[in-house]
Amino acid sequence: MTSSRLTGLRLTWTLAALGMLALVLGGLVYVMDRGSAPVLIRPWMPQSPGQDVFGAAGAWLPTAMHTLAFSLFTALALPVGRAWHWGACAFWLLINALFEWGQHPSIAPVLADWIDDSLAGTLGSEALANYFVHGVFDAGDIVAAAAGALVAGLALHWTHHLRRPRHAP
Amino acid sequence: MRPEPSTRLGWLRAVALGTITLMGILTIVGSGGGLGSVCDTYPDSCQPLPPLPSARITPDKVVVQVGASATFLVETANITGPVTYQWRRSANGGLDYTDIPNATSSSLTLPAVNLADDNTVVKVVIRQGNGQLLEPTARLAVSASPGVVFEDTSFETADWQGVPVLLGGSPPFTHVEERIATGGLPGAYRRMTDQIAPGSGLSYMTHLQLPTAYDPRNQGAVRFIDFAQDCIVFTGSSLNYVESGPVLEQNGRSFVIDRNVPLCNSSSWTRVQRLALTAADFRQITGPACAVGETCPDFSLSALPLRMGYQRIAQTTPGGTVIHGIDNWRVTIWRR
Repeated sequence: MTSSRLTGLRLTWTLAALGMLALVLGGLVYVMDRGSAPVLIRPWMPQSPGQDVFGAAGAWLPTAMHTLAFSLFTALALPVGRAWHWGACAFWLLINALFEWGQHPSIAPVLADWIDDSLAGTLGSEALANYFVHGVFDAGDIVAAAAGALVAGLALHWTHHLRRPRHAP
Repeated sequence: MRPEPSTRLGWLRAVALGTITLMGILTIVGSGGGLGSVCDTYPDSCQPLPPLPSARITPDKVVVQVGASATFLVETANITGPVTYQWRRSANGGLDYTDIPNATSSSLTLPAVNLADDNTVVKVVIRQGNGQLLEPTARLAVSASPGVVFEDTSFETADWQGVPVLLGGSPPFTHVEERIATGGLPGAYRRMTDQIAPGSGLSYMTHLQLPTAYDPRNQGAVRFIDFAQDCIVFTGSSLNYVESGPVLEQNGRSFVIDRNVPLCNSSSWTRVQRLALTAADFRQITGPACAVGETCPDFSLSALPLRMGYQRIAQTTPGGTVIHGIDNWRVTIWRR
């Protein structure tokens, strides 16, 4: 295996690990601060959930980490190229922003009605309607998604420099 | 015909991208989209969790004199089915434990303890089947000398001084205390009536025993303090609860405990106690601030005299009345 392919493989694994780490960090907010620990690990959790371990960061961290992680995963599945990679980041920023925007009080009821009318009985349609109706719109989440996408984009941009073959002078 | 490698890679890439996109969207929807728990968004999917099994040893800390016995009892809750017990002990603060032979019941008695047993940590390993369920611990301290006991069972009015504690600008309340000759446990007891201010929900009093004090300079440094009392809350007082723990007074400052303060909310006489309290268990509530380098409260050999008493925090509806009593107040000071 050539050294440039080896470098590429290492970078791929590093970025995948970074994405997984981001997902775990975002998930920890739900487990520690929002009392949403999976049943299997609850016996090892503190007795009273909702501890505020992450403080104010707990409000935006999950969205930022989600955008970061899935931007990286998507970019890794795409061909190597700056345009593809920035496109992946923009795609997840758009997805997260749209889902957040769908929770806005002026939009959520309309969306939920449309889901009830058009997708009634479809697997997951009720959860989707609940997501929009009961979720809390927060413009800060859109900013957080943008931050997550930007970090992912910069990480991918940086790896392009490392992937570039170096020639001896 | 086998597909070209580039076609296979294209399919593989498409499947990966589709899976990643689906997972990403499922994660967004599954998160609930709120600032609270997932259960806020999807209440139907969240079942209340069964209460967790718990166990504790009573007392969790105890001081006994050389030659006396120490008894520990394990209390469990939310455990169904048979369990087994194995008591263990540690001589190095809980780092290493050894099994105590034949100590497999829900209680443990260590007969005739000696100074080598001081600072022993005992633990009971509770097992169900092959699994280890819980292992609560307790601490034993052994004193070479007997405890110095301060107690009152008759509560002469002149022997006690009640002082209201007004925290954070809380409105004053009316407080009446009196000695009642009968109805105690047995005989006389001290009855307190608190008329809570309309704008408040509680009254806070400290009560100091006047005739006696403990002087560390003459009697020795304090290692531990045991506190015990019988308390009662009379019915018809629209009561929520009464907290009652020990009070120390030293050099114009009052100290109370603020963790695990005993609750008195029974309409019959109930014994409550806190054992093996150290200086670290007490928090100053009144008096001049503790200066830098000063120890407050001071339990050392050079400390100023300590007076003892009890505190009462009565909580009820604003404007309500709480009537409560105390008998068999007892403070034991264990010396170094």
